[in-house]
Amino acid sequence: MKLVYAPRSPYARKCRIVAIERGIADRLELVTVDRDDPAAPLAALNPLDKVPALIRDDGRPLVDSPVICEYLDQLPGAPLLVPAAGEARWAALHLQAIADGICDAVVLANLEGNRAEAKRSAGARKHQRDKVERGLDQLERDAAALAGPLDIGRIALACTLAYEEYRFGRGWRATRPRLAAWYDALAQRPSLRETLAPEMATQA
Amino acid sequence: MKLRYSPSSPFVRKVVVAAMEMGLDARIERVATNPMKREDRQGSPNPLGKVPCLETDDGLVLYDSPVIIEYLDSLHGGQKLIPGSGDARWNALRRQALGDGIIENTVLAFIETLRKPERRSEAWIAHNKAAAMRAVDALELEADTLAGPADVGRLTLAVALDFIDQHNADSDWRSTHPRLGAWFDSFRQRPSLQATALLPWA
Repeated sequence: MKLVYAPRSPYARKCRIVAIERGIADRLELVTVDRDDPAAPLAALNPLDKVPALIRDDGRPLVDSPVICEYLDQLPGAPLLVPAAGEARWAALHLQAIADGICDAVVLANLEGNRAEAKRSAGARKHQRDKVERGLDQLERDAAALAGPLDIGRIALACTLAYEEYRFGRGWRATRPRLAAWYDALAQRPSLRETLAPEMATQA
Repeated sequence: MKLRYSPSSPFVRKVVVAAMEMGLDARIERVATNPMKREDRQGSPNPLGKVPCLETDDGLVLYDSPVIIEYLDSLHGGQKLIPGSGDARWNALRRQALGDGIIENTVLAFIETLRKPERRSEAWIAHNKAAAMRAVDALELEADTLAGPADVGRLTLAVALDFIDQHNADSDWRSTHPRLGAWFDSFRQRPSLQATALLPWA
């Protein structure tokens, strides 16, 4: 299989961590794409022009990151990271949804800041940043629930926090000590260290 | 169960269509929620303020639409909208992701048009519309495989194509994607889709 990824993509990183944790990373060839290469456009692999995309062994593609992670999770390997049923499944999928949703807002807020100055909208940026802050506040309130075995929800949250920190700095930690302590412990796992692009590391 | 509901949201429509297909619609109470209004966002159990959001009878809070639909699918004994395994499962989930992506790109393009002209990026609008249309191109190539049961993938594609028709009325995608158009115009006759036309955004 091939995973089309970008080194800093938080969504692709979820998939890479799942593959490493399940012991199937050797089956996954990592392929980067040059967005601007007309000869090998990303759109040929994912028409939505996004990473990640998984090219399965028979050549057929899969999108998007929750679907790819679930596909990787049902291949032979251990342990399972997407609980199969019941309350554990809804809890994991719920955490993945809030983490991915926060990350979407981080991406959009960052894109807003990357616009030419005359095209920037402070209101649009604030709308996205407010989503990030409210989402992180709720996770801080619910931080006790984060203790427990690694699953797709916790992986997604760690990827989101790393991306927030890369784009907007360590300010999120100030009012969220429990979330920060949880993240700092999880970030030591080899699968997380190995998949963090060097330029994304921040200093305390 | 309570569903945070907006009559203009294609993702809400997905959930309602799915619930109708499963015969669960009558068990879902709709709570009107406008994600653009602060007081509605503050009253929602989803801190991101997005709709749809489902509060279940046993106290679960679920979003986004793929998670809600999967939960609803676990509540009934009829034909499952999300096949349990194999090609049928991955095709359904992949098509759902493509349909959701078409909707997201169409929403991003539309929101950009609401900006003041001097802050509007025509390039961003074009980028998002092009991504949506490339997904439509890809679907034309697999249109022969679209005949089949109303699973979550096909239902999402129908909601997405309807959303393109609503927001890009000038797009003549059927003339360049005739097989997809023929499938859609037949599939969209389903009662669940006929009963759930979206209201335009205010």
